[in-house]
Amino acid sequence: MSTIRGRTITMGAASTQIVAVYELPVGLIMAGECLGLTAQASVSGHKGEVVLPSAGWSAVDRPPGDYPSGTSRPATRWSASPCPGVP
Amino acid sequence: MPGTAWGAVLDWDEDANRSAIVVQRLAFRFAGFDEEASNGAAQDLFEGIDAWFQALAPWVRTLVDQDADTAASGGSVRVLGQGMEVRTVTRSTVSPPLESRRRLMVRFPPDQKPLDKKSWRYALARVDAAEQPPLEYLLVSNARIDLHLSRTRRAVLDAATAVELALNAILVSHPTAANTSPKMLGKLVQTLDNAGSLPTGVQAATLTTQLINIRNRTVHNGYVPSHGEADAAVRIAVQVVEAAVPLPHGGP
Repeated sequence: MSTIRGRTITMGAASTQIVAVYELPVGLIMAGECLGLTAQASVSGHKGEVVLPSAGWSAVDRPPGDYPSGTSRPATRWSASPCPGVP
Repeated sequence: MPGTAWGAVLDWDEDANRSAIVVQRLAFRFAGFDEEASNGAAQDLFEGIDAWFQALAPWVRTLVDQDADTAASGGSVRVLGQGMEVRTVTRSTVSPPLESRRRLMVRFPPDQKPLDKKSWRYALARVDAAEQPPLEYLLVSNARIDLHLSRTRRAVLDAATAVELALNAILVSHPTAANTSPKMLGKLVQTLDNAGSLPTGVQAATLTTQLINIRNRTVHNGYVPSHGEADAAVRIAVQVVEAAVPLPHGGP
């Protein structure tokens, strides 16, 4: 923080952050170990990070018949174990 | 982002403590804007995000053979009613869009593996660098798609072309090769076999019977390979390509 002629301004990184959610045209099938993973990505020349679902995100519940094996389970079982190092 | 429906758990292995999840939405965070610039950046994202995913899709397909390309769906992912929006209308109100309970259908074969952390980061980095998968991998990917769709002629032709490119790459890099000019597939296999330079585990006789002969009959006689023949041709092509043109992270 810095004060110029009585006005407080924010120094360093700009304060505005863009958060976007992109609905995929098809589903990506990922390993459960990746829950909560963040990785660097660049879209339209803007560098940022892409975030996979993590703890606190709700899951689409699917009827048991949609699963290739077993019965339906709550996704929170896995979302409680994000990748190491993920905040 | 609590409350955002991101996808679902698709399959799991209790003993190995592993699961596969289907992800339908991704979140992005971009920082470093002032308030004015953020509006322009948001517009950039709207314009560029679809192209970004289309660049990512071939890498995902190369790494784990998933149908992440909407332009060339191979049949294991289907989106029902894509582009359709349903609302209920009364005299005074219009409802929000209704969600389909079975919008995304995913068939996840037991021999297919989910995209892991390492491959995901690798794919994102390649897209960031504006790189495409090597042509050999794109061809075997196309061959797999054609096989899924029972287009066996195309599957065999793409598989054979991928092998021809991959083996020529070996020939060019061979330290003792006297003549490294590109060769036809049959001659190429013979040359590399004589030099002991076929990829490890690949037999010249197997390549000849399972790929070259089938390819030649397909090209010259209009033969339509059976599903089993095409499957064998694609499998050996994948083996050759992965050995001859390894991806830095270890391949699919």
